[in-house]
Amino acid sequence: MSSLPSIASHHFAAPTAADARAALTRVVGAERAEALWAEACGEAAVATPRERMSIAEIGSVAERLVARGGAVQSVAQAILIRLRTYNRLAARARESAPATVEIAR
Amino acid sequence: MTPFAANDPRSAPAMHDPARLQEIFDLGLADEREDPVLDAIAREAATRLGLPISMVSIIMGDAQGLAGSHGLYGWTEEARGLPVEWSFCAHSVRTREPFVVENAATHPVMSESPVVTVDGIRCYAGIPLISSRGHVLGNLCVIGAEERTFGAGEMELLRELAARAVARIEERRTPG
Repeated sequence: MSSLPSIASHHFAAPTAADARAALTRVVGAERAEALWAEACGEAAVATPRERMSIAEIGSVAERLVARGGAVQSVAQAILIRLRTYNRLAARARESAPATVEIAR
Repeated sequence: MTPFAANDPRSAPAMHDPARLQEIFDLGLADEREDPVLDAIAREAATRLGLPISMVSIIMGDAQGLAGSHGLYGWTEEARGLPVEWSFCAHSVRTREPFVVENAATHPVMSESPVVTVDGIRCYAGIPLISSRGHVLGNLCVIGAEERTFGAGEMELLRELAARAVARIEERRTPG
C-alpha cells in the first residue's frame, strides 16, 4: 500500500514496489523477479529492497530494468508509464482541483 | 489464479505472455522511440474517419504505450500511455479481434473507465496489430468524444491502415 495520495478523479493509487514486483513476477516468475528486482535496486543505489519506496526510487529501479532488454524491458516500461500517469494526474490535481485528491486508506 | 476481475484485461494470460512481450522488445516498441511514419498513419486514420484522436498502441503488460499517435493532449500525451485497466485497446490482446464501442457511456465493459467517466471518450474503434509471429502487439484505433457508429467501409479502411502499421513495425525487427 502506498502512503501517497491516490488520484480521486481517476481512482488511481500511486504505484508501489509491490505492484512493480508483481508485474515482473507475472512475466518471469517469482524467483527471477526477486533476483532482478534486487539487482536493479542495487544498481539504482536503493540499498535495501523494501516495500516503502518513493515514486522516484521505483522509477529509478524501473529504468535499470529497462536496460535488461527483452520481455523485462516491456514490463519495466509499463511500470514507468504507470508512474508517469500518476505524476501527471497528481500534478494536474494540484494545479487545478486540490479537492479532488484524497489520502489513500 | 489471477488477482484481477474478469473484465480487467490483465486477467488474460496473453497480457503477460513472455513471448509476446519479447516480441514487443524485438520490434523496438518498448523503448518509446518516436516514429513519424506511425504518427502519419494515425493522422490519416483520424482524418479520414473525421475523429480527433488516433493511436498506434502497444500493450505492455500493465500499461498501454504508444508507437504513434495523433491528436492526444493533456495527461495521456504527457504520460505517453495509460494504465492498461483503462485501455480500450487491451481488449484486442485477449480476443485477437477488432474492438468497437459506439457509446462508451453505456458499454458494459468500458462505461466505468475513468477515460470515459472523467476524460470523456465516447466512441472507439480499434483493429489489432498482429505481428508476423502471431502476437497481438496493440491496436490501431480511432477515438472520439461523441457517440458514433462505424460502417463496414470505415472498418475496412482501419484494417488497411493497421496492415500498413504492422508492415512499418516489422521493418524495425531486431535481426536474430
